[in-house]
Amino acid sequence: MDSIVEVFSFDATQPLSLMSNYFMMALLIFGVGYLALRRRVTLRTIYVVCFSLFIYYKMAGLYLLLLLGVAASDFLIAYRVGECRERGVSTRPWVALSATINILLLVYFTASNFIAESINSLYGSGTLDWTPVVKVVGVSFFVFQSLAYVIDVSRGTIAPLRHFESYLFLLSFFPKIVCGPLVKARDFIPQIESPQLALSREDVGRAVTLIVTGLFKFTLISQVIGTLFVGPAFASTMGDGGLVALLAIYGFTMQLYCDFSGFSEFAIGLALIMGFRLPDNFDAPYKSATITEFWRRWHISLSTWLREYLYISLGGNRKGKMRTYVNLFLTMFLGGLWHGVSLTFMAWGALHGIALALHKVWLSVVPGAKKVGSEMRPVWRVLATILTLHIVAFGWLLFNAPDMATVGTMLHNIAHNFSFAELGAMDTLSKIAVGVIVVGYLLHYMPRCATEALRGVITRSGFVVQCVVVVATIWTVAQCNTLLGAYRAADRAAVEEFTGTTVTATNAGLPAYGAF
Amino acid sequence: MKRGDNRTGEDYGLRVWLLVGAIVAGATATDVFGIKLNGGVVAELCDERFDAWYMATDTSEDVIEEYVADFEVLEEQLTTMDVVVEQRDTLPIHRWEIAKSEMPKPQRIAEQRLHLDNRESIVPIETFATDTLASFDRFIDKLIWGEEVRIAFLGDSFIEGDILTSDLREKMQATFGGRGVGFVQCEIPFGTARRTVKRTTKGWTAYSVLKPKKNPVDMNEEFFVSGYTARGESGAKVTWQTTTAFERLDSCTRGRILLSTPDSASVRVMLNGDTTLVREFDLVNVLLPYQILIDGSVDKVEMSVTQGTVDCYGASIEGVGGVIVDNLSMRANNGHAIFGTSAIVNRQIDDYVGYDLVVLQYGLNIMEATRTNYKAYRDKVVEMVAYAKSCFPDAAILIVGVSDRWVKNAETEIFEPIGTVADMTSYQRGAAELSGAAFWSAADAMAVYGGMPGFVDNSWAAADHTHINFAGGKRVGEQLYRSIVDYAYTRLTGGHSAEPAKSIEQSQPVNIEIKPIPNDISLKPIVEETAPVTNAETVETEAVESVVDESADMGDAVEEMALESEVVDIVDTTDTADATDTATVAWDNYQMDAEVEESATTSVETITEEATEEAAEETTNTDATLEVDTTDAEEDFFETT
Repeated sequence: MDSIVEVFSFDATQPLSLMSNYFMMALLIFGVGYLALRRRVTLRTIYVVCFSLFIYYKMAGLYLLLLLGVAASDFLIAYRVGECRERGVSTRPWVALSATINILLLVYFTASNFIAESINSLYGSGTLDWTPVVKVVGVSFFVFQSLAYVIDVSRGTIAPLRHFESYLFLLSFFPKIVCGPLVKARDFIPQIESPQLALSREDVGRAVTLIVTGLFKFTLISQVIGTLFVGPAFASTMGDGGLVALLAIYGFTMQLYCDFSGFSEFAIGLALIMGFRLPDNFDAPYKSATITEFWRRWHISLSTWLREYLYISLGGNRKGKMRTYVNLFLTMFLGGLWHGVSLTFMAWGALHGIALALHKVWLSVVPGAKKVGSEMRPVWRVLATILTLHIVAFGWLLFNAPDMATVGTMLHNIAHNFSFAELGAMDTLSKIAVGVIVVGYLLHYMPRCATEALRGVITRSGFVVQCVVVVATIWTVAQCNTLLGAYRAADRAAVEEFTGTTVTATNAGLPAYGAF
Repeated sequence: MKRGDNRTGEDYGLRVWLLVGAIVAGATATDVFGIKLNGGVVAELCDERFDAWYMATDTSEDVIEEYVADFEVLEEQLTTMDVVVEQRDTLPIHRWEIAKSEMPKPQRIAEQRLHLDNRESIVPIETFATDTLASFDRFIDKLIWGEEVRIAFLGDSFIEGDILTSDLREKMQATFGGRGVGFVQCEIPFGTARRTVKRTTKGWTAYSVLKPKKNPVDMNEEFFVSGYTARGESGAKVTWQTTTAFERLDSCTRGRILLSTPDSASVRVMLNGDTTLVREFDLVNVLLPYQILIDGSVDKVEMSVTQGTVDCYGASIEGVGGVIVDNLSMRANNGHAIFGTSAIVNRQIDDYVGYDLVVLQYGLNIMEATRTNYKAYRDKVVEMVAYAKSCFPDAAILIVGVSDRWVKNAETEIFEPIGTVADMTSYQRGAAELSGAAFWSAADAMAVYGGMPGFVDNSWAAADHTHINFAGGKRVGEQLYRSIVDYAYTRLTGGHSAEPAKSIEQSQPVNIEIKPIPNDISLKPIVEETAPVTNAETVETEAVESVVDESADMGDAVEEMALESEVVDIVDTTDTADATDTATVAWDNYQMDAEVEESATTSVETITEEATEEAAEETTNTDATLEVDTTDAEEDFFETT
């Protein structure tokens, strides 16, 4: 009896991950009911919402109530906003209320630690008795999703939803609750309310491809690079070689992309299984030749959100050149803060803001300057791509470094301690990781027709072949996780042995295939 | 996103769920069909990486090649020190007493406690002492007679992180009493953290004596043998807290913080995380290092700099009485770093804490596979011993021979003996013989377990066959402990003794004049003199008591301040010499007294373990010392916070 309760209850030490055996099992059981209900809209919606809320509970425990609270609050506010629009009354106060609630919530989880620490360091420690606030899964995303809905209603883009369960669906839909993609309400709500969610053969092929590539990128590339190389390098455990630092920056660039895009693809694939289409979130971003293009290829749903709800709200490019640049900068700066409040995130946001503004200047000043790579001549395009990649990579250095001092150290090492001999001096594990980094870049820069061809092959294959592909992927991912787990355990043991401290193992957020 | 065509209206919605089923089946079956993690490949790759990382040596070019012993400078420093001390009214000690700390009454240890059941493979400690005053025998006598004994264990990365010393400490404390971890630095630039103490720091910059070019000029004049000094401005914080990694690390009864300031500073100290145990102390630059001495139950010391700049050497959390072992390791030091330290700081800190044995454990960084002649290094070691004797006049010196080491043959990729361990060991033994220090061979101790290969096989050493880890340190530390106890047992009972030392190859002996330390230097602080030697107890107690009587007559703080310096002089000019002479006589007569005592069959021999420990809790002369304390008006000791 106890173990049954355990299965269903939230375990703070091991929050659920979407890439785990438990989730897959739960999904399968869920699927049985889903297949039965998939044509009955209301029942289907409620069923999926219940499952999504249960999944969120397994991820975040009682913060489920927070999700429900935000959903209820914005649902009611949007209803009021709709009424105001009908009556021709200003919707501003209600939008402002929703924005305040949502932003305050976001600030609480993102910035409060920073603020508390600043107060303590300014006025002496102990001024504020502060227990650090732990960031809750998905808060940044559903807050933005919810705010977008309210703003959309106030702009008249969509009508306020009549059914609460539909709104809950929009917010809590489990594939996208963890890290997006953020959907446009006007695209997604019709799907929620559609009675016919048929899947074609292409859809199946696409879903399988997405899940397979998502898992592959997330575990076999990103986790490997991060655990074996980038993590230790940024923690200054690997010495002060310049080549190692440079490879760590390139490595993190690939790691972050594979991590995020892998998970996004996995989520989009999951949603597709149920017949829901989520927008693409990444489009080979490191093929961008300009920084403007980069933001059309990277985390597309977030940059869309920022453009629609922040940039345009600030005035966009309608208030003159100077104001445009300021708006760009502010948008990017706040985008940086959205990730977390620290000097490094602020620097990252500022870097991109300045880069975007400068590109806009460049476009207006230089004759023949192009906005995106496809408009450029091949030679220029290659050079521009390399330049853009390096600007972005430098930004990731700021993004990932634990503090500005590490940034300085790494740059100093690259400038003064650089030596190709480091490559030979690296241990085997590092060499493996560097190999994976190279493979990642090669795969990334493959032409689109290659990825399309892969998808085509999977789509046209028979059911059995698709099963084999899927099982093979899961098997490989599980083995990789086991090996990485063994490495992590050995690392902990080594640290404990040589420093005498006990290290607590954290498995949060790590995929758990290979261990039920 | 196109809807996609449905061929003949076929809906693939069911199929996709079957695929999910396949995923689940695959996921649950991975345990059955997965690769069995053979420890081999994965463990090897991990070892390759972690051994390199966690044992990486600091290869910075700023490390100074070699300090040279300059005995003239040493003399000058000590002379300067005399002048400074004479000019000062009080010594730079801040005393904070939260509870009466009672020095256990010195009591001769029962023979049975020193008796080792298994005398197999004890590596003997060889002594060549010519000067009985600070000889190894005297150190052993202090152990036997239950005095508080402090050991400074100076070494290189071999003992980094309290390897070896933590186990030596544990075993010595279990037999001879004592608690706590001893000296811990404030902040070090790199190095393995200890498991015997938890240290957190914020806002300190660590300076190393081995990198003088990176240090502020004044810092290079002020290093302690610990080799690291941390400088912190206002806002810097450090916390030292004992752990429970060993049994006797906590429940400590004394704390010390050793620090100084280039100009002036204030620090705030909190004990045991208790906000009622907070005090502020002011420091000014007096050329001598300060000691903040804390009596009472201490397990956690937090110090923050509230004003000015503080140069902190470190802190010590210890027990009153028994054995205290200070791990003073410096990576990449072959021993020459001691010449770069300040004799003034060393002497003054020795004054505060009282070292009785200085262990010099070096050689690993010098030994090479192709060199068999280490004469130059031997001569350097002789200088090190002389230097150490000047800085720590009451301490015996023990040279620990180099550890066993194997190296990887570049061609065959197999580890083989470095081949020069025996040569280095014999030169180190030679240095001991020339300088009158004691000698103990770590290589022989490791040979008991099969040498370095044996250690590596047992996972007591890293795969580099050079550095032992904590488990290996436990074995070597235990061996040293057994050797010390065996030596003590021999001395106590006259029983089976170790083989006498072997002689070294003939070569020109180095003419190092070990200058005798004049006895009239007023270095002894009045308050924490340890329990006097039993045989000379009557004489010294009288000296202390006479001091106390005089000060107790005074009521005025100012006068008492002045009195302190007079008191110093009193001890200084009259009784110290007498006391020490008496002590010398006492030690020389020890054998006779021992026989007398044995024949008298006092209750000492029948004391059981519990009784010995009870005796350790008896008070001695602390009443006297207490009264002297209260006199200092500059430092208001009993202001309750």
